[in-house]
Amino acid sequence: MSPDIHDIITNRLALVSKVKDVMISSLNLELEPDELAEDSQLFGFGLGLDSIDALTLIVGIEDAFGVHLPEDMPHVLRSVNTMADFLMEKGVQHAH
Amino acid sequence: MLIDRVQSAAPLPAGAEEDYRAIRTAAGITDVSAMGKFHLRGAAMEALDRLVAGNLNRLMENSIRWTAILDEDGRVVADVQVYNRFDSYLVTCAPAQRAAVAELLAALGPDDEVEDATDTLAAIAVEGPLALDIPHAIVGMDGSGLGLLKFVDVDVFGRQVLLSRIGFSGEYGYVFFLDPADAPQLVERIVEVCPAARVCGPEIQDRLRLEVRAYTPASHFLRGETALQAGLHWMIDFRKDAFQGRDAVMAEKAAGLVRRLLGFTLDGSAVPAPGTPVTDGADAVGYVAAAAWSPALERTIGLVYLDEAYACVGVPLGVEGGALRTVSTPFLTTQSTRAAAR
Repeated sequence: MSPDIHDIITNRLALVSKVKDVMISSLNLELEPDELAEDSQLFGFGLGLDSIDALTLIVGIEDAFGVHLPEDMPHVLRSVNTMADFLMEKGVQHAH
Repeated sequence: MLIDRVQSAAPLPAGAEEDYRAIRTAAGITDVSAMGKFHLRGAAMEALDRLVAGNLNRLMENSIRWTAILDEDGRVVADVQVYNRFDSYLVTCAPAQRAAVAELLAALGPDDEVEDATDTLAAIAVEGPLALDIPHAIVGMDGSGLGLLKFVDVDVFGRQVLLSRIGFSGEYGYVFFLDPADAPQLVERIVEVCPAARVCGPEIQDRLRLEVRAYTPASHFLRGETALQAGLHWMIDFRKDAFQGRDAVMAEKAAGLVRRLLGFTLDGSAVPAPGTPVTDGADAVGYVAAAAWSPALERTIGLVYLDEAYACVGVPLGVEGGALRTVSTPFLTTQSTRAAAR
């Protein structure tokens, strides 16, 4: 594995881990981090979250990472991975 | 040879392009009556809860749980949708899994507790951005405001019909379960209330589902991978004390996964066949599980099993026919998803 790929994976996994922790704690999910697949859909199929959960999650993410997450960005709140994509686009590092 | 394993972006079959466009931009009507349909009553209901990986004790009345039946190695035998009718369950599954599910369910109880209703109950699905208004147009207030994975009994043509809010394309979706004799009349009625709706065939379903990473056995499993490797954690209740395959699931979780299924996009228009090796330089690090050309995204998308060390979004890798990059899924944010967020 090249150093570049190693760095990509290391940084991404650290951010994903932090997103999972924020999600589990802010929504009081009865899940351990390894019981939450990174691509599981958050609403409907998948975790079955609702609109109140969405607002709670937005507040949790904003507080944890110091970003503003507009409510009109439905592609962000699809999975742990799509939230991590958004945070990376905003230049967020896992250790905010 | 390269040509054996890497295909060009084949055009959709005749009619399927129009079907695809209808479901992504208007509404598509599909006869899904071939899905397996089973009524469970009495003690067979409790026996089903001990079989499936999801928790049916927490399933509210008039709600649907999509879960899996695992084998003792933690592999998916079949995925099922369980409709809780309080004093009975309706269990549905994909047509290809009907025989396997019928055999498993038959072992749960006598004939008066387990009834195969596949041939006596029709199922008409309607999916698309315009599908949201169709139930109300047909059955009035009883059909409006139905939440995702909920269902209700409604009156259609003077007969009881089960109307469920469930779909697999990422668009608004409903399925009507009704007497087979009434199905043609219902299709006519849907087109009457929604003239943009189109009667669709089944050919396009796999592509629609892949775009939103909806589960299908064909796209998620190739070489005996487990439910956890396929990312089907959401079908499993890890707090549940007993279900078939639980020991294997918990053992794999404790040991850590050896491979994991991720989404990818591909530069160029090639569509790699399932099983095509994925490489990091000279090293094979995984294989393609499924791939297709996405008309909406205008690129090749797919799912790839990667060794755990590489199982991460944002990794550039090689595959015959092009360079791929692992990406987050679902690939597509549908019109219905955007509308629901407004």
